[in-house]
Amino acid sequence: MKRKLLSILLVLLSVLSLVGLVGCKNTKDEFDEKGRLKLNLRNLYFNEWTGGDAYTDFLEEKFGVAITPTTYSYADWDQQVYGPVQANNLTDVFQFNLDSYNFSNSYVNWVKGDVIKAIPDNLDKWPNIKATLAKVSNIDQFYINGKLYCLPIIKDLSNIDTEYSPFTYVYRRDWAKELGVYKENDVYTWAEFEALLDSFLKNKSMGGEVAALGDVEWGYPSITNFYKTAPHCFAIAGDGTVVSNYTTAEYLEGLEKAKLWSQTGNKQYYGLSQYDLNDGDAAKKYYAGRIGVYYENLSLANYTTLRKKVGENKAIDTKEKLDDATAIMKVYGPDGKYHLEGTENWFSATFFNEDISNAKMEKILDILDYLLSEEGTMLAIYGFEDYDYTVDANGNVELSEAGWEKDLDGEYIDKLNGAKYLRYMITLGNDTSEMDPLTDKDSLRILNAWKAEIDQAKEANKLVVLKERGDVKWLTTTLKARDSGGMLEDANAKITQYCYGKITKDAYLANFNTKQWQDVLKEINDALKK
Amino acid sequence: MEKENKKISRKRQRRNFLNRLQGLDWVIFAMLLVYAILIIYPFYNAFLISISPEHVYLETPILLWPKEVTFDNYRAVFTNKTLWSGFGVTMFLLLFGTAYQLFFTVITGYALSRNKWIGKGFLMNMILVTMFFGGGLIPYYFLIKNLGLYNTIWVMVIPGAIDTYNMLLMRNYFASLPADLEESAKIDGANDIQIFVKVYLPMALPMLATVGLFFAVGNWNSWYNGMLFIEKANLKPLQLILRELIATSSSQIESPIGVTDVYSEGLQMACIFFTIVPMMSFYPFVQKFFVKGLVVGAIKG
Repeated sequence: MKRKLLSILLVLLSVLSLVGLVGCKNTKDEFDEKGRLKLNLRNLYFNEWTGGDAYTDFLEEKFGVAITPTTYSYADWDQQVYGPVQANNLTDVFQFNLDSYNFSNSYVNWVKGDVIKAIPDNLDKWPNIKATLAKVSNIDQFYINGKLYCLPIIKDLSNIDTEYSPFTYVYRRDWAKELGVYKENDVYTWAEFEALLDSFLKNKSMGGEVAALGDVEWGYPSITNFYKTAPHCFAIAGDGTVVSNYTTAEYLEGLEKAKLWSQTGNKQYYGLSQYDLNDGDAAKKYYAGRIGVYYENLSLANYTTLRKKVGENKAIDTKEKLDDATAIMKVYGPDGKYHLEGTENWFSATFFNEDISNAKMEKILDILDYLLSEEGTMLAIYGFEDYDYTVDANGNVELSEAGWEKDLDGEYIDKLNGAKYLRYMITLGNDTSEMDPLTDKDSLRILNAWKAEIDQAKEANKLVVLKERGDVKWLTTTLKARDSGGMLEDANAKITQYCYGKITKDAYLANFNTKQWQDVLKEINDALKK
Repeated sequence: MEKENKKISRKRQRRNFLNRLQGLDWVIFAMLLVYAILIIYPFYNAFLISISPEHVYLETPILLWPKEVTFDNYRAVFTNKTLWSGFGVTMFLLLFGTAYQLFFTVITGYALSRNKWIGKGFLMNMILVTMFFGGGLIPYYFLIKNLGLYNTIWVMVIPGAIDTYNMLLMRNYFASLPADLEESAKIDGANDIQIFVKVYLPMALPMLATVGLFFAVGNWNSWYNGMLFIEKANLKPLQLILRELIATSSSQIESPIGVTDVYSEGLQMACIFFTIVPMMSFYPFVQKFFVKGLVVGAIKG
């Protein structure tokens, strides 16, 4: 009897231990033990910030909240968002990619499915947020039934009129000078550009180890930008109907050029096999001095990285040499104009969980509004006044030794400042680059100079911005929303295969005449007629 | 004197061995040597990349010897606080998780290996079904959420309590042991638990080591449940943190985050050594059980 009882007891203990462990449920209480509102925030850019720093403490104290920040991993972003969306297990606030190919799929469905909560109609209480939203490009597209359901994260608050992206060429000006093909102010006509590439290929190729031209993997073949009339899948034909961008006469002309260039220099893209590159390979080749001209998204972060990596080369030991090895090139296309891809001034957005209470939502808006104010911005960029920094009579900021450590090269070391990370929920902070002690000012100076010249070209009608027509871009139809991302990916693969002679022209063209393409185009054209 | 004799004896053995090698043996020897190099070199190259600065790697991705040595990548790995917290979580999974999984897998395997009892066939079939059919990610997500396991360390332990494949290995092993053992123990007055603990369990040591090693390796490498269900940074396992570290260092996303001082390949290689060395050190100690256990489990059933 005792033995049987012992057996039952053991089984019961095992089961109870399981139940006990499972009983560790997450509480979803509104307030913590100190009576502060609990805020669970999740954002891709929070990275290593987990709270607990003096700046977060300050904000928690000021607003009476307890902040729990968590981050996404870029590699798993989709799964980490879609899983909780499906299981109704979202944090109070979350962030997701909202580029044009995800836009209709996610945003509209989330609104319909009561996944996300609308921002209050009247934003007078949060003037800085209101002013910021007024600077969001195409903000009208975010309104559904008159309601706004997210806060688009603006890339650059200070320069809202920039409608073109910094996807362009960086090149070895030092090589061009050495070979006598350098053109003043880095401005090249189409013929001069080709001559420069030929010269690089002829004189620098070193038995195939150095390529004249290379594109970041997603940007290949960049030279089609000088021919095509739309950035991605859909172009407008002469009769006004929407057609596949990849079969227009203009695109095919650019494609033939890309094919010719891809088969130049030992059957490679001016010496580089774009076909075999993995993500990041082309950049590394440029860092190592194995590519003469490189097409990339020259955002401040990317350009700073590029300059830093190129600067690690022992031969590039002065600032002048570095500038010459990372110069930004301006190329006039065959039509005598610059060609750049269009862009919005946001690419992701902050969303509020449908289940969040009004009190919590208002607190979050209070915090963001504060961080967009002058005082909040100073806190986010510098820290506490009189500890991290002081301001002299002329308004100049002086950083303190106590607040800001320097590395062996005399550069300021980044520190965990919760205010800075929270600000990423509404802006990527490019508006504060000038004042940020962590910004590489040389990179910023060069990029600003480039932007100024492109703006001048725009004024002089010498800039073509590749943008999808608004009514097509923002059209939310079932097939377009579902298929266009995959169609773009597939098109890029076929373009690369064609340029490297892996498929015939007929096979290439057939890819854009499939039932999927026909159905999507018909759906768009029918919707536009209505 | 004795030492010298041993030395001479060893030399003779070596000479005899070399004398016995004939033409074809040398070919086989050469092929095996090439094969060994093919296996060892990637590890060697990975180690060289992990201690090389970026410009060396960019100039010569395939290295034969270190051209310039830097420990920046290892410094980046070892000074990363989240990595150490991940190490703590993974150690917990390794020790507690392995013991927990082993306990439930072994007792289930033992129970299912015993003579008929009501519902045994049904239970066995229900467990077997899970080997072939899964509920899918979303139902699994709901289950985890409703059990209150979301964002707790238990989400990486409890769902794996019983691994069907390993449970079957254990069950087959117990079933292969003579039933007479149980009968004689009963005659000696042992109860069911005593029979299990004192008779069968000691005989199953090779199998325990094998299955334990499977669980330990699985726990050491686990990241998927963490990726899906863990938001808190201090609860993320080591492999997940490494994955995120590598993804961040090689991502070209529009980002406000500053420039990293280390390069992705160097960091990846340093991470590889950081993660495989503990497991490699542990492996030789259980290898003898491991091989024996595998063979035993394979032929009985």
